[in-house]
Amino acid sequence: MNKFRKRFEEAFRLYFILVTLISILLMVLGLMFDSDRVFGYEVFLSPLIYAAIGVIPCFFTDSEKELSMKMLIIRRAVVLLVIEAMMLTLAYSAESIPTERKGVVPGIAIGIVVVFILSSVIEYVFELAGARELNEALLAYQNSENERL
Amino acid sequence: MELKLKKVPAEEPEVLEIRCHKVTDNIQEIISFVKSRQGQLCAYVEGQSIEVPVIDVFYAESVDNRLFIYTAKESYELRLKLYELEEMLKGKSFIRVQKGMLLNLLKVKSIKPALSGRYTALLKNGEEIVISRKYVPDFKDTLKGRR
Repeated sequence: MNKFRKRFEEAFRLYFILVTLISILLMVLGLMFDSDRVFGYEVFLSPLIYAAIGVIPCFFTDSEKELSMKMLIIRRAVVLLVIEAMMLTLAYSAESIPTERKGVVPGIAIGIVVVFILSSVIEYVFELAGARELNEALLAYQNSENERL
Repeated sequence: MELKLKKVPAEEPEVLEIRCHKVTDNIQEIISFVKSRQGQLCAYVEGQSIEVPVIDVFYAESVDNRLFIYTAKESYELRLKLYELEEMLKGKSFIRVQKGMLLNLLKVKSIKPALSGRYTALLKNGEEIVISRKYVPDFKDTLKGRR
């Protein structure tokens, strides 16, 4: 239960990082390829839906095995490929995305890679903050243990 | 084996004597346990027995069903299982950080994040040990005094 909760918390955090980054990506791609287009309010749902799709692999790629750094990188690459495939399938099936226009599909594909890398960087920044707290706790622990000895 | 316990006055030294026909693995295990309680681990290098102070141990690792302890520069083999050593060192500054590894928190210089929720512990001798994701919550709880 605790494991599931932790995974859910991580997915939740990643979800909101993705919502923000995808909103920015949609704005950039929109300005580049379809700047005259007018949308209704329902367009605000798009980042929420795309982010939800981006989070799905989190629930299937978490293994109990202690993976080596090489295996972790390979796993991340596979996750990226799966997300690319899902997003491009969605892009081709959605009528609102002009995939027939030159540059739109590569733009989406590159955008997904950029969002993927940025979300990893933001998560790393969060973990850095966590590590800073742990280092402070480690120092306090070592001081108290040394006093005890 | 018969077990005898005799209380002695405070001025007399405390003695634990084992009388046995042969030093079996079980006896060796008892010796290791007693020594660990006294801050010493009974280790082996090329078949020779040597006592290693617990405070000098950086980490212990189980490799192919053999248990090794690592000090700043040396490594020694212990004739124990990892879970037995973990039990012996309970209450000391050792914590499980991987399925087959115990880490001495007093020998950690700093901690930095690794990929996917894991952390890397930089030891005072320059070595790096990965704290696997599964053991991160226990690690945090120990440092924050919740365990």
